[in-house]
Amino acid sequence: MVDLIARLPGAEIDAHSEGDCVLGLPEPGALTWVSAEPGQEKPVGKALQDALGLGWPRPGRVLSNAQARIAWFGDRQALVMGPALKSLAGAAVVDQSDGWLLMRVEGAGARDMLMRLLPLDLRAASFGPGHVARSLAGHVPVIVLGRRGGAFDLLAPRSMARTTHGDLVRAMKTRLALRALDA
Amino acid sequence: MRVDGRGLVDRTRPVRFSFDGRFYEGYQGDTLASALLANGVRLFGRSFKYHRPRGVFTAGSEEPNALVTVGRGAEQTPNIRATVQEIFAGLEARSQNRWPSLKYDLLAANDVLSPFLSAGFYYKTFMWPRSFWEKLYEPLIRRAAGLGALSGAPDRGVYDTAWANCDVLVVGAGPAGLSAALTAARSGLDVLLVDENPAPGGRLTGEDELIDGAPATDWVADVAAQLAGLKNVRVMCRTTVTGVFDHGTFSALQRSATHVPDPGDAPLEVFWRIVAKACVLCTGALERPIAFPGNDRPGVMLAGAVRRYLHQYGVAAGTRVAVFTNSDDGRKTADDLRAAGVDVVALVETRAGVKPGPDHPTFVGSTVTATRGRLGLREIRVEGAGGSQWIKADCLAVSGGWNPTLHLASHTGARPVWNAAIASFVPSPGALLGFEVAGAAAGVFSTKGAIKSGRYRAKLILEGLGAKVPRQGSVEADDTPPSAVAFWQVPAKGRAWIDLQNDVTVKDVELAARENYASAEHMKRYTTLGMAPDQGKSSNVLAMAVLAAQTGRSIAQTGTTTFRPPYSPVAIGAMGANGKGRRFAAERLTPSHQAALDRGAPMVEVGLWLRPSYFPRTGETTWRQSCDREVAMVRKAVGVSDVSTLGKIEVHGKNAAQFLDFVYTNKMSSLKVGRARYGLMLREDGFVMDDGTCARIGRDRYVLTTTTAAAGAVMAHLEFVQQVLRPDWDLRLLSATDHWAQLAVTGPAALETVNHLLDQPISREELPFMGHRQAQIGGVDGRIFRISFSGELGFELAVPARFGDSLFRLAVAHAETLGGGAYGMEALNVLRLEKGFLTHAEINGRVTADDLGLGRMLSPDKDFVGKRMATRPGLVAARREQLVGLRPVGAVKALSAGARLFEPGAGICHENMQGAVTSAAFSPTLGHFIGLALLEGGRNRMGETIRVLERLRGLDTLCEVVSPVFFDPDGGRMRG
Repeated sequence: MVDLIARLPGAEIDAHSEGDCVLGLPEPGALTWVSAEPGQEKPVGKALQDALGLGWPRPGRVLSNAQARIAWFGDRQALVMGPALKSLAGAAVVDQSDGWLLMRVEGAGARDMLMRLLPLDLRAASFGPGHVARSLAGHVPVIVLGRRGGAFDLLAPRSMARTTHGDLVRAMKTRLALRALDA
Repeated sequence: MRVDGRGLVDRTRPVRFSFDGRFYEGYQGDTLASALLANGVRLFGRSFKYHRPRGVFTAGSEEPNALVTVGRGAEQTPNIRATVQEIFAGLEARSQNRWPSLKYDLLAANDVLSPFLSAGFYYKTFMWPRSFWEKLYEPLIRRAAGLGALSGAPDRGVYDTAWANCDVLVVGAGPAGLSAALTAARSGLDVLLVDENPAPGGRLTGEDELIDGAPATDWVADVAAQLAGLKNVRVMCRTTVTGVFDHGTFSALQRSATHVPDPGDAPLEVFWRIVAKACVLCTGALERPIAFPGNDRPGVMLAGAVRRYLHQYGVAAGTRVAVFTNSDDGRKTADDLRAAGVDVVALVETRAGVKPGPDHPTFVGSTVTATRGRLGLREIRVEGAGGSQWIKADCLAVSGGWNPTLHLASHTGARPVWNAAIASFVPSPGALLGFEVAGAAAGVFSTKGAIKSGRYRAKLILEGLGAKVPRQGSVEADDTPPSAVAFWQVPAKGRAWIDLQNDVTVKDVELAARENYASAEHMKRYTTLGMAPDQGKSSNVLAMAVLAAQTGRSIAQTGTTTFRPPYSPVAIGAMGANGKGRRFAAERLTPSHQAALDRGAPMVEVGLWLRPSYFPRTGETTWRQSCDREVAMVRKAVGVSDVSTLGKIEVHGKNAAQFLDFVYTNKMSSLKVGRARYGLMLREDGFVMDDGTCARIGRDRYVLTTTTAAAGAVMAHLEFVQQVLRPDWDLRLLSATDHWAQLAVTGPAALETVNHLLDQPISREELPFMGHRQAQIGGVDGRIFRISFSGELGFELAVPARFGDSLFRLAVAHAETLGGGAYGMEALNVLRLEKGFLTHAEINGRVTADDLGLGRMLSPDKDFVGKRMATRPGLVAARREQLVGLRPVGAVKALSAGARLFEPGAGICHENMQGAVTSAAFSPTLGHFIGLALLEGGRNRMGETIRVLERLRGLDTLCEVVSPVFFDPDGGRMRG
């Protein structure tokens, strides 16, 4: 039997820190796409509640507890983050763990930096913990999840993660350089 | 020169800069214009068309004359307004549109020829002979006319783009804007206050006024400090809102680092897109000139600008200043200058009934009818009831009233309305949802009026947003009503300029009207008035007044031209900041990217993907050597290639089979679990969209494979069909491309390599052609497909992407023990060409299934997307271009993609063109070039000879039309 060595998405990119803004690459656990059959959101939510203690998320929302997060992903679709999920009655379940790279931006400057980069209203009153949106970071389709303390998680498609990482690092540097000019 | 005790510039911080190679000194806070005026420089540039000497005319972004080039070499930026550019140590500026020098410009000959260069001159003169326009006339005219020039080198300046969101956007930080922003901010809403100047204050920094008994600048500082203390407010200076778009979206240009010697990592400019729930436009007003002969000489300036140079910069614009006005506001200029100790030589009042100023030589009911001075104003002629006289003056401050700056209010289509009280246009009230216009921009010119207007308009916005309205105390400030009496042009002989930037005179507008270009828009195009960077800032209303007088209509009936974004020029470098060079598009990397780089493979762009072009080995010096070896390797042993780039779409649901029957032309519902089928999709218009395979992996679950190029388009198409055409079906779609690493292992020895990798070996019989199954590789769950894009025995192994790098290295290492190895895009292309397999070179958006020889795949037994449209007569005509193979038979044994096809002996013209080569390559297997082509009626022309012409590469050869399948036509090698 051959021995396959895992090379995680993002092996070639690094965490980065710039002033009051930190870009980290936390391990997200398994990512599982769940899509409920028409009209089955409630029973599927019940099954998710039984399995993970979290129900079916409303559009634009994330449910989370210590073990797992369930993020709205589209029409009748959700992304379960954390524990692996094999199957669920009334829903299609597909492992997507290797499809996305998780990047986390945190620190006092995270929100300001990300607001410059994304065409989303990320003001604290509009977007915070419990919010999720699919958007564009530069050219790349990303999923943005709000976290406590003004932090954000970004999921970028694995193949384009290097581009998004570069865009984030550049946005961090640019913001800091502009602030230095203002000071 | 400087006036002691005046101005807000920092006299303790001198700044050295250069203009046209000469060094000057200004102060921190100066613009290039104010610093040069302080140094006695009046000549700034040459005019657009006549190369007339021109000086600074305004003190703001509306400047039509004083355009300069800043920087040197690749860093140079042309057409920078000297009135906007702040000076910094080492700033290097140059004048434009002159040769050999600003003082001695040979093209000033145009001015002598001006009687012949009136509006419409080009249209009338350069019509014949027609062919001369492009090669002779246009280049000549362009060389003579124009503004600054680009360096010709790529701009190395760094720019940025950014987004911002707010509840209330306030544009302009003058008295109205500051009041509106503070009112809105006190409600707790997020407020963004944007102003194009380096600091807030607007008009107040350029006047000597009192608010609540103290200097107005104290009030500005106080409000600015209050705003700075509020967390929900952001003030962006040096930022011009350049456009208003739908849904509360605004564009803005921030000059973030054009005012410092070394920006470091900071971008020079940032192009913002701002989204706001509501907006208060407080853009103020622009002073308008009066048209009189010789009104373009350096030294003739707008009166408000002369006051601003005095009050903001401590600069007297001249030593002997005359004022020409129709209003009390203009007269204030004379008073302010005198108070500062500047010699006011004449106050020329168009109004007859007003009292003479007690302190100035005043000429009531008079006008300025001529000026003299070659490179700058020397004297003016004043005419009135008392006769005429020449008066020596080096500066003439002109005021014809004020025009509300309503450009932004008009960007989404609202037409301004005429307001007779101020003899100008104002924004149409209520024309824009969520918009209010306050202060001078709405025609409220007094300081007190502007403050009250700003507060009131902000209050309306707050009420609309359901926010609480804060209470505010009263304010004491100047509340003089507007006094200007409409006065547009002096009826005297000589050229009187309206639009200084485009060199348009009263005569040009009158000529346009006489030649029946009488509507505002026609006149604009005939004369070029208000075009390009200027957008008619100073000239628009005056021009309409002249046109109205000429056509016998009122100004209200004449209307205005259309104001379009951007309000002031935006460098393309700023708009496209994050799309330059490699950042033009995202880069997609395959799971084996690093492994390919480790093997020295050069990368080639395939859509967004970077894929290895070939894998060079020792001794190979050209790509062809590597490619030929890799092709032979696949035909004789085994090759490995990363095909993760192919789109992978999961389709789930009870209606999945039905859905696939509907989107593919052929039947997929009959596919058995464990089997795959080649499929074809059409667009709604009946043309081929994509081809690929469809594998059934469960009763209600399929995995589709699309081409690399069309993966996104196919996903969008499927989602469209799902959501719009079949919303009632149970269907769920997932793009799973990035989760999987997929390797093609192909060649006669492919099974050996595959079995080396699989935990459980398989046989050809267990996995027949177009079969697939779950597979374990190194204990990892994956999939194996038996499909081939090379025509050899072929497998595709799929594992989660994290194992792709490892799997690729293992597969290649094993293949190499069998005489095989990795192959790249070049070999992949040759292999598929030898087999006549298609890519998007053939599926080019204009081909039907029948054109590609796939007509039999259009199932007659079911409906599918594009079926009806595919039967249109034009899509089934016999003379359509059809897919064929080509083999060189002439003297030249080469082929090239993109070459055009002609009958031998036929004339080389468009009418005789019969098709084109879509793909071509040298086939090492066959020992000659092969090509695929789309040829008119091609399938019935097998054996014919066709001429293949490619003028870019100088290819001219003869080819035999052959079957598109060159190698193993019965497919025995891949099916066996």
